[in-house]
Amino acid sequence: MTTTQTTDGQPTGPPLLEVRDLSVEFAAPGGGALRAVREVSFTLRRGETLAVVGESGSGKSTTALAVLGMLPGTGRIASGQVLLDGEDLVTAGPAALRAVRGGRIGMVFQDPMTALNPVLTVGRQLDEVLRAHGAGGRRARTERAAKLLDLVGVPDPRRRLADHPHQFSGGQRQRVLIAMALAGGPDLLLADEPTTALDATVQDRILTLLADVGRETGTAVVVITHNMGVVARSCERVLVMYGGSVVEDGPTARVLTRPSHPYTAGLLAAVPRLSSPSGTRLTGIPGAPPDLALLGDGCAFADRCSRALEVCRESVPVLLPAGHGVRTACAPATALEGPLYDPAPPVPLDRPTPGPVVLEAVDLVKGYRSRRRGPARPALDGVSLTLAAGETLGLVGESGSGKSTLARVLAHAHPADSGTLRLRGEDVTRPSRAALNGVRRQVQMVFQDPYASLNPRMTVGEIVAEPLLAFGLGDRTARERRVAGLLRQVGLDPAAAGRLPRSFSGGQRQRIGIARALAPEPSVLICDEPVSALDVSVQAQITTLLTDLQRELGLALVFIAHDLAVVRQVSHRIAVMHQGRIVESGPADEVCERPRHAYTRALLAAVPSPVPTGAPPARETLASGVGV
Amino acid sequence: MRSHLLRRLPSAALVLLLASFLVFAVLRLVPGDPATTLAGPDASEATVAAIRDRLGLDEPLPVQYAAWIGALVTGDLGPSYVIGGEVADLIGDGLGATVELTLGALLFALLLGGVLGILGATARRGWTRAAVRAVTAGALAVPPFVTGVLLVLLFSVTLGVLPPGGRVPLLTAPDLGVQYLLLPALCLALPSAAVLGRYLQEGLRQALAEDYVLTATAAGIAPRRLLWRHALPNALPPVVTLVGIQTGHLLGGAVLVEAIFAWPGLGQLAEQALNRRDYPVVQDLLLLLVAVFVVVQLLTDLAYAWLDPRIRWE
Amino acid sequence: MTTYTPEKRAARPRPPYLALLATWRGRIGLALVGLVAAAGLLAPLLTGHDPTAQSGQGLLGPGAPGHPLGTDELGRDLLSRLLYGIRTDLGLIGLAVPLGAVLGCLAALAAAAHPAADTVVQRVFDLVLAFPGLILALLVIAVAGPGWLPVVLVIALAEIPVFGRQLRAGILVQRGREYVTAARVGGTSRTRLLVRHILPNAAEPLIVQFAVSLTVAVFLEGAMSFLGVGVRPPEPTLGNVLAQAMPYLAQSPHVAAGPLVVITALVAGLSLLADALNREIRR
Repeated sequence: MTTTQTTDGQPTGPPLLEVRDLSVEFAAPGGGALRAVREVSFTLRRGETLAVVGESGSGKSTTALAVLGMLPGTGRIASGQVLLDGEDLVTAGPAALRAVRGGRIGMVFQDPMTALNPVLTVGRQLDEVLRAHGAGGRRARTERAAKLLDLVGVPDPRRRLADHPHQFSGGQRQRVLIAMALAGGPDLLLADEPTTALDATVQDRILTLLADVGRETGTAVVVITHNMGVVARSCERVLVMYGGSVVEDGPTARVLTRPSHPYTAGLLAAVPRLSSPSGTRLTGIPGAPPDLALLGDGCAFADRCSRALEVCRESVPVLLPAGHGVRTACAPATALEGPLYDPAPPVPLDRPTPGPVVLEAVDLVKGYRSRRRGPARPALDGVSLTLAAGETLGLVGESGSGKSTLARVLAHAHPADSGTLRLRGEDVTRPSRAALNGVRRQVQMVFQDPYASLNPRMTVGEIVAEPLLAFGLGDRTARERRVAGLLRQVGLDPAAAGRLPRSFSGGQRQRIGIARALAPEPSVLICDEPVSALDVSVQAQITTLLTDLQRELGLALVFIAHDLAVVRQVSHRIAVMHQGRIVESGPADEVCERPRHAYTRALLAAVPSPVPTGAPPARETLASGVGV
Repeated sequence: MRSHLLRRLPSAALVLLLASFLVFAVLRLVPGDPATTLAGPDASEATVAAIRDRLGLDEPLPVQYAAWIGALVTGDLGPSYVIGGEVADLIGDGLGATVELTLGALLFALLLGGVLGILGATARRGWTRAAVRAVTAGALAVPPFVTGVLLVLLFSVTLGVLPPGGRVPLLTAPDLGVQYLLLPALCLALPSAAVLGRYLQEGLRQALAEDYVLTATAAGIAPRRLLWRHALPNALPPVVTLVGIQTGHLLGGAVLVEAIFAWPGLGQLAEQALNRRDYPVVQDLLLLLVAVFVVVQLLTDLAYAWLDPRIRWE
Repeated sequence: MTTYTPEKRAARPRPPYLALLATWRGRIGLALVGLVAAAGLLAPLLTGHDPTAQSGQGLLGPGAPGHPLGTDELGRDLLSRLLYGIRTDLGLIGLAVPLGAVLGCLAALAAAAHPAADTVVQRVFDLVLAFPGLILALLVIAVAGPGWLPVVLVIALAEIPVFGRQLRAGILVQRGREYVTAARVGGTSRTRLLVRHILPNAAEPLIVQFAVSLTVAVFLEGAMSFLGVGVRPPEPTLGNVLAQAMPYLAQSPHVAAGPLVVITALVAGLSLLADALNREIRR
């Protein structure tokens, strides 16, 4: 395919895909209609790379599915056009749509663990796509399938065609999915959160692959993501979505440095940066992503926007040119003189210096019984660490590194196989029943999944009061008072006590989990990926809350995350875990700026920075020695 | 695959062993002297003595158990005292009839269940789905003895097209045999068909909602192929397990359906033997039925493993 | 900063049994079951005949004077046989299903307490399940002989592994949930963990199973009557009355009509209830 290029490298020519005023509705439980996508318009030229970025409920995935005519359930396109080379896909028949799917537009989904059919071989699944798009006889198709696997970098492709998905690693599965999306020779590759389920080092390789494939085959690539780093890393242009609408559309380099919409600016301020030193305060956007059912007329962001005017609540803002090739849907912002967002280095917080050591682990070992034969590698293989009062120890590592197991052993959710655990100098490795209660009062835990970690049948008040009851703290009225106090402390209305967890958003639930953990006045708080399941704007709220609580209460925190940038900002010290061991630990800034271990260096190199590089992403970021 | 079989085998064998203990205990748990009970009120001393000797009731229990199992293994089950004739012959005769009925019903259940399941999972039109739901719910909710009565009322009493009961062996006279088989097999099959249909429908629905179906749809694969080649292989393994369990229920249900349609199978034999207290027949019969059920379940376990590559390659 | 947003949703969801009344399935199901149950409970008030008294006028058609549904071959009043049959069935299944459910749940709790108990319980369940439905009935009747109590035993025995397995699986699933770990780390004791956290979440599907098991019990009673191993005639049960109508199906189908309608209504009502409960719980 030939792509005409202008001197500045931007592809020109007629648009490949043009979406005009696309609106998508779902039937709401009450009988009304819920608008998930509102009058979205954008164009995409051949060979272009576009990122669609937004938080949950922004309508970014729904837009992608609508383009392919694959809306789930009651979803339907209420209005608008989707023009692919001028042909409207909204009015196209089923046969025409099938030819487009896979043939003109290939799609890659988020979770490689579920997106491949577990009972069919990889070869068979590739073959199915090739067959659907008439790629010759059986022999020719097998040949082509092997070539495709080779193209996406699966070693020994011919042999691997006969393997089932469970015989591939997560990263390799994502490669297979990309091969499937490319099988029909599409002009456009739609990737919906293609790296969200993957570890950072694997994510890096997949992004590189997508960029390479786009360049080599001339395919336009659309990456849907919530990760600003991924945007900066892989796309020339970015579309920012919020509450079902496009709020900003422009060149990545411009949008990420001089955003012209308050939401984009807020989002950028909320994104943790690896370059920010330890102790920097992140600014979240107040409030939660909008409930689409409650969205009225007016700007969806108005409720969270500090610059909102009366006019913002009255009519939906339209995209207007804001210079430098940017279009933005915010009238007050376009009228504004100075920049919305100031990327000047934020001032570090003054934090009290950590006190004496409260928790000490020496040589912890923990293995899990394995159903498969062969030697089982222990989840924890001799881990030692110390934690001081008022100190935050950041624990980073990829999935399977043992960091969650460590959290559970430290919180006495599981016993260690061997090693010693000391709390204020006292050996609490295997406490007696009575002593265990004492230890648990001291060491509490905040969990990753704010949906799974709250009992769905108990009210928030009962959940938060549970540890008080368990440790026999106070009578009924005293408990109620304490619960109200705790809820206020974590930024919730005390009236929340009477409700069930299901009526709260993810961020609010995480606050409930923190209130529960604080209830018995612990001195150590183990936070196992407390912000990984949350939207970026909410993530910053929770990390801020945790740092504030630490300062107020002198808590010792263990902060576990896979995102090095977050960890650096909240932690005093960082320990890097790999295969059940701590491979490196030290002061947060030291570890991030002068890593000593090869694995730490690989991890650091793989973190996509939300700062656009201007040039196409460098390919030398891959560190050797880390398997995909 | 082989390791999978080896893992399942011990628990199946254990169940069979425990079941044999239980069945063996039955005769010994009956109040009074089994020999006297067996011989009936008018029997002579000599008959009672013969029975006692034949059953080895004077021997210690382990010896009696061993003798019973030995007889089962060799097939030499001895004479039946109350019903008359050799136990092996009685069971042999009934077995043919029951197998015919059960297989007929299984065929019905698979066909009907398959149609209900696939229609239920794919039908777009409201009335098709409502019809599938109604048929499934009806077949599930109405007990076989009620459907049996209704079928006889409709096809035999009112329409007079099919016989209300009795059996002509399928192998000796296929055309006539089918007429006799049709109603009892249908009556026996309906609940199983509904269960299978519901399971298949649920399995297909779940499979069709999976991410991999989304992937395949986005790759332009046609809906029909999506259903048969992508969703069905995923929905099938649990259904196969269910078929094993349902085969057991068909065997159990056959006992009832045989009573309704005067079908001379094992159920009729069991009923006769129970009512006339012919305990050796009851014992052998019960263990045979359990053994068949256990073997069928083992086979379906294997089929499951064969259908699911994640287990196949373990 | 207060980020709590009030919602219109009720503080606690309605319990499923109340929410049932809001669905057509639940309403019709409850009405059918209630109607049949009321007929059985009020049997002595609704008919003056003794269900076993023989009048000498056999096989009267419906509408005969004093016998609104007619009489059977022995001249017994069909209405009173039907009503008292319902009464017997209600007693049978009302005793047997809760008994089986309680025993099954106790077994599941024992299994949850210790791995060794778990193995034993599992093998016992396997053993009981190796005798599908009626074959189990034959086994019990072979020992105990036919009668009222053996029928209760058969039904209860058949239900034990059904409830036991379901609760055991539920407990295992809930135990692995993160909120349980959270409560444990929060210091909640083992007993409270089981009673307050795990059981309420694990036991919910059992409500549906209970309704399903009631229908299975009606099935089993009827089937055993057909086989002549159920409650001994002349005492009426729904199954007995229907089974006795079989030989006269050709000339007097009305004898079968009453029990056919009642059994269908009862079972359909219970199925609708189970369905409605299931939908309510899954929401």
